[in-house]
Amino acid sequence: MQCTEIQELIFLDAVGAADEPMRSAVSRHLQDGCIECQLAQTEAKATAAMLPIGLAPATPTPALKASLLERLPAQRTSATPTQANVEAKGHRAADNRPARRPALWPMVITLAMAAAFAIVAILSIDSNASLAKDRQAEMLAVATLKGSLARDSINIHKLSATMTHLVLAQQQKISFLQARLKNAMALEKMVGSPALEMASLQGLAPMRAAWGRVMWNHKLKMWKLCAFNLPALPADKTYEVWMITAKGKKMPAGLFKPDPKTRSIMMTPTLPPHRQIMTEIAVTIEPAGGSLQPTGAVLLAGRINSSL
Amino acid sequence: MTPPPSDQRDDYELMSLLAQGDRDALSALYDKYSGVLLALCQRILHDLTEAEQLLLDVFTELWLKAERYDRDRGAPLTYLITLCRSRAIDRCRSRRNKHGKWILGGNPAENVLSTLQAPSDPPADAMVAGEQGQAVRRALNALNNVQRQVLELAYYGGLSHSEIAENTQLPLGTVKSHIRLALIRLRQELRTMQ
Repeated sequence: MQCTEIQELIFLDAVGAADEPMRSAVSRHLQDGCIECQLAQTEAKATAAMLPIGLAPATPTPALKASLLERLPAQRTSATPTQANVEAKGHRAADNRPARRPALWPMVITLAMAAAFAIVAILSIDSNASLAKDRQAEMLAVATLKGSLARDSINIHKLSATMTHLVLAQQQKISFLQARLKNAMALEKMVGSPALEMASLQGLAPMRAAWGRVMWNHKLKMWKLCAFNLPALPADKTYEVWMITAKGKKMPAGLFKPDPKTRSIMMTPTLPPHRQIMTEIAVTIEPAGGSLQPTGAVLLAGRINSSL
Repeated sequence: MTPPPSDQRDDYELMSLLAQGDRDALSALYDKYSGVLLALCQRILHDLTEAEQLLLDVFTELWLKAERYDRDRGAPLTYLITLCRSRAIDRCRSRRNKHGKWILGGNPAENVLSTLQAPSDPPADAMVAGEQGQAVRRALNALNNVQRQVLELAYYGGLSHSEIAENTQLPLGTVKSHIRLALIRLRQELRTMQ
């Protein structure tokens, strides 16, 4: 379950409106350590717990507190000395002292100190009540702030993931463009060289409208074949290029399918593994995947005379 | 040495002392919060005698199991309120089991504002009943009637979202979104008032 769905359940759970499967889903999610949802839960529960504070406070029966203190089991005992013990110790200490006539000035000092303590106590009561209220408000503010920080952190992670994705896409685009640029520069070098040779390809029946050019450069060992007005082929057929030697041996030199929009193609024929004299280049239609020897009629052909 | 008055120590300190077995700390917490907690119990149970009995049970449980309180999970008052509400709702559910049907303390559709009045007799601890109480009432007033009603039914009525949908004839999704929006609005209002 996503955090947004869990947080919807957290709101229900905070006011007690979630059913058991919902509570279990929240519990499982929190056990997985989702900090954002843990903070959302703390915040939602703190907000819900404010509701009763808006109720008109009730006044318990006066005897209720006495009844509570009376029924408390004695398992827990206070570590702090009781007032009675303190007073008893005080009395015992006083009994051991010799009797003296009370002087006036110690009483004045005692009264002054008592007054000072009373003032401090009153100020302290006021400031402690205020501190407690501030603390409650701070708890809520801190929980809110933590929730906000967690949400920001998640947003930053999401943004970071999106940016990484965009950067990768841009890198792929750059690689593609670099490859195209490299090909274009090689083609420019090939075409601009005085060693460039070229031959025309003519369409034969039933593709008389088709035509093409074949270009090659011995020094750069580059070949290019361009063809135009080529009809589109069904999926189970392909065009295949053939290099034909002086002795009439036909060697497969690559497959292609024309661009369906422009009905044209520019491809790099595969050169034979051994140096041979080539006299012709031809194009046939073959079954998809190509053939070792031409099975279809020659549809595009041109004369070349080149040593490969 | 006389223990300091209850309101001279903050709630966290009182809970810490309580966990060490300090009766005075329990007494101080009772003095501070019995008013609001009793109001909560009474609001859910709609029976003063039963509410007082529950309050005694809750404070006894607090005394026996004070170490269960975890300060990282909220303020002591939040813990006390959650404990009280939970025990009160349990009592309502046991009524349901006993009578074979859900018996709320009162009319489930009763408007929460009817019980949200300024106290006629202010309690000793003015912090809870005073400014904060007024802030919560103002925040609740900022909600619309339906939002208040679904909060009321869930929080004080102990109804699940599907039971609320059945009671109010609202679609299930609408009930969920009303609760979510009500709590968000409440939080915003309380934050503004702080």
